[in-house]
Amino acid sequence: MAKNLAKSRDRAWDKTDFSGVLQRPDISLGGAFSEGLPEVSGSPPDDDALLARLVAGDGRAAAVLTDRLGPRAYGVALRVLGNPAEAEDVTQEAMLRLWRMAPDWQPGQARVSTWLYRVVMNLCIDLKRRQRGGYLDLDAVPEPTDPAKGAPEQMQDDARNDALQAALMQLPERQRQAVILRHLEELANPEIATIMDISVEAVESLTARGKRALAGMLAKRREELGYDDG
Amino acid sequence: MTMADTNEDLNQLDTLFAEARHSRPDMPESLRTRVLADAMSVQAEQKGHGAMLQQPAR
Repeated sequence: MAKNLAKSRDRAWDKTDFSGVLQRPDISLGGAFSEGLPEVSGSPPDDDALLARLVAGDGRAAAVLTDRLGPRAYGVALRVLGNPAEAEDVTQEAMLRLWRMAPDWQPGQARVSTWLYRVVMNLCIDLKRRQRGGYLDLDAVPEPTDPAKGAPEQMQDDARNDALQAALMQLPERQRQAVILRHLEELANPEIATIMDISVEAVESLTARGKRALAGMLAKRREELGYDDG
Repeated sequence: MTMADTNEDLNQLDTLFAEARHSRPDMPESLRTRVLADAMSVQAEQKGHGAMLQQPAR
């Protein structure tokens, strides 16, 4: 998978191969990177400020940005791709691009999170495109959940979550992305339009059609999902 | 499907969305470690590049 991602690095600033970084014995994650960043004036620094601190050599900024943005990138990649290993690779690649972009970041022109969501979505599209041209199933169903979870309530929660994910995977790619950004990430339509490089009207159309399609798919599973008692 | 069914289905979907938002997956620790290793590596590269640029031309 990582090799597949490496093939997609078609932009000028993506041409370096970082695959060896993870095997480097000289990289230790102790010290400054494992500590939190002190707050300034009682409020945590915003993403722009953290990027500036990173560029200035403050390694703690990377840890704070990772903890703030990494889970969002991973969560949306996992929802879009339905595959944890692929979502990890996409997240790592997106964050790597963030680190490399930091010196060129222009504060105030866009939100860092919007930029990152856009990179994640583009990486997901690239990955799906390559899979379509290859031997992998584009809409492979997500992996089953961990059977070790035992409580009936948890099992039903998992079943609902799996049902939602399975239904999301049945949507056309752009509808899936729009629905995830709108209803799971709770982003506003203009921000989604920026991320997906489409108009706000197109976002509204994609989310409305996606939501109707999902509702139709899930309606067939009402009883199974515990929604048939109303 | 009636209009009532449709509304009920959409409400059910909104409930599923809300549940999914509350069970957002954690970022695996191994991924966090790799991401931070990348950050350190890029920072070291950029420091090295900056030092090279500051060297006087001979």
